[in-house]
Parts: sequence; C-alpha cells; structure tokens
Amino acid sequence: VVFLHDAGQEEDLVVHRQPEGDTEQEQHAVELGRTRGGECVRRQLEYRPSEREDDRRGARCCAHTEGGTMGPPVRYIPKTHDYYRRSGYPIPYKYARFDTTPFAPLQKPLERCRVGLVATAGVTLLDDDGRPAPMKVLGGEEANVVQIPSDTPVERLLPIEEHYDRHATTVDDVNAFFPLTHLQDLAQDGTIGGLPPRFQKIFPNYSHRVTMSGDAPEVLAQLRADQADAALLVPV
Amino acid sequence: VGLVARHLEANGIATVTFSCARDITEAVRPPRSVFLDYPLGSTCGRPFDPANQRAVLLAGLRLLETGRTPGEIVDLPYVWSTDETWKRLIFSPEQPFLSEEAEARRQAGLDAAREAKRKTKATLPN
Repeated sequence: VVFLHDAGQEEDLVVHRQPEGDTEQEQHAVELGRTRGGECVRRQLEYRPSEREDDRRGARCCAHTEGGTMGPPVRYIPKTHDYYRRSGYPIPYKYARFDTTPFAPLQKPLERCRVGLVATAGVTLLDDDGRPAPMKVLGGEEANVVQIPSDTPVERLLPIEEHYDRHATTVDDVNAFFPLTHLQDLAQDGTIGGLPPRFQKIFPNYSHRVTMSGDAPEVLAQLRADQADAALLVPV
Repeated sequence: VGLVARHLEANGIATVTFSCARDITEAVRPPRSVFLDYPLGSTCGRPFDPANQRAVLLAGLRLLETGRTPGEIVDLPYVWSTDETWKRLIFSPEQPFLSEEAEARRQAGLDAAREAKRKTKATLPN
C-alpha cells in the first residue's frame, strides 16, 4: 500500500512512486529479472522519470491506517536548514538530489540470498570484560568503514548514538536501529539465505564526495568479497 | 546511506534503504525504500518492541524481493503515537537537537576529521 502526501513546494519532487510497468525501462527490468532464471546475472538499469502529466498525479492526502491517523511526515530538509541557519550556519547543507535511480533486481529468491547490513548506527563493540574493543577502520584515504562481525551477540554492542530524536525516542534498544538479532533469526529460520561474515558501520559524512569516493567503494568491496547478494541500508 | 545504496545497486547488489525522513529519501531516490514515520533513531522499529521491528524488517525484505520499480518508497502503516507533537518540536528553537555535550563532540569530530585527513589511516578505537 502506498500513500501519497503533500509534496509541498518542491516542484521537482512530486511523484513518490513511479507507475508500474508502463515505461520501457521498467518492462526491460521485468524481462531481465525473468529471463535469467536462477542464474545470478545482474544489470544496472537507469530509470528516468517520465514527464507525462499523469505521472505527477496525486500530490496530497494523508495516510489513514489501523491504529490511528498519521499526519504528514516531518519535512527535514527545510527544518534543518532553518535550524542550522538560526544556529549560525548561514550556508544551507546541500542534500543529495537525483532524478534517476540505478536498479538491480534481485536475481534469486530471498531464501537463497546472502543479505548484508550497512548502517550509520552509533554502536561500539565490547570485549569479554565489557570494555570497548578496538574496531577496525577500513577504506582508502578518507573512508571510514567499520566492520562488525554478523554473529556478534547484540549485548556486545553498546549504543553511543547521539544524532537521534532524544526527546521522542531512545537508542537503548540496538535492534531498533541496527537489526542484528532479527537478521540472525531470519538467517537461522531460513527466511534469508544467510549473512555475510561482517556488517558495515559507516559514519554520516557531510561530504557527498567523501561518501562516494571513500565509503561507498569500500562497502562495495567488502560485500563483494563476502559474496553478498543484497544489503539493507539503515541510517539513524 | 542513500548514496551508498545507489553505488551498491549500480554495481549489481540489490538494496533496500530504511528511512524515517521521507523528504530526504524522495530527494536522494535510493533504489528501494521503506518509510517508517517514527522519530529519528528508530529507523528499524519501536524500541523494545521486537514484533514491530521484525515486521518493519520483513517489509523491507519483501520489497527487496518483489520490487520492480526503481525509486519506489513503500510507506509502512505503523503509527508512533496519536500525539504528533514530536513532529513539530524536532529541530525547533525550543528543543535543541543535540545536547550541549553532543554538540561539542560534533564540533570536535569535525575538527578531528580535518586533522585526520592529513594522517594515514590506522586502526582506531571507535
């Protein structure tokens, strides 16, 4: 179920969900996904949003759901711009913005896929005595990718996250922002094929360039080395 | 993480991105996303509610498997609370986002990052 809400004044971002199967690229994606059978061949597909009028349909309404009514989501981009301007940062942070999206359909059933986890979670690994253990930072000159063994018991991760809504929620439960136990359970019960030996923790970086030239290639290299088929990305 | 998701996907690894910030996700357009209308910090479900966390995770995995629409965002039906004051107060003048100590650490972190640029990468404690 997909709900649409008021997209506000940003004209370049009205469509939240692209129409299904009615573009050439989409058809192509579906075909590729089917014709390759069980063979693990992946293709990058580039989706270009259509200019057509009916793609821009449906810009307002809120979600009504069981258990309550949701108002519109927080619009963090204008809120943080205002907040940091008032705090003395006159130049607004430039959020990344793209018109196209790379797409690689999953090539085999989930129960045969090795699923990784890449998160910005502020957690630190504890040793046998409950003291913070050294964590290995990998990557090139500017990358900051920390590996966390995927079989780590969740009790061994101490939450040290600070960039969260401390007035509304808590980070005392690591599984709510680094779903370690759940992934271990899902691998155990066969919902997913398995876990790579390590998960990746990255640091939120204000520089898109550093993220793209440092962190992203390092994460990719680790997932490839571990033969991961898919990855869950979890920001805080 | 949206940038990393895009990079992985462009290189053949299927991704799903979890989000509590829909407008940022709309801008970055990761390949597949699930949006959970919860406060920042609870991206994968309500703290101490494993059933909710598992449901959020399974929704993401389902999208990973069945998604055929690049840039799709699936909105999850879970409601944080009937009182939505938290949405108004986040990043408001009356409620500083970071504590003073955390803000000081953020500043120190930025300084350290500049410093670290000049040094060789090494094994560091977190």
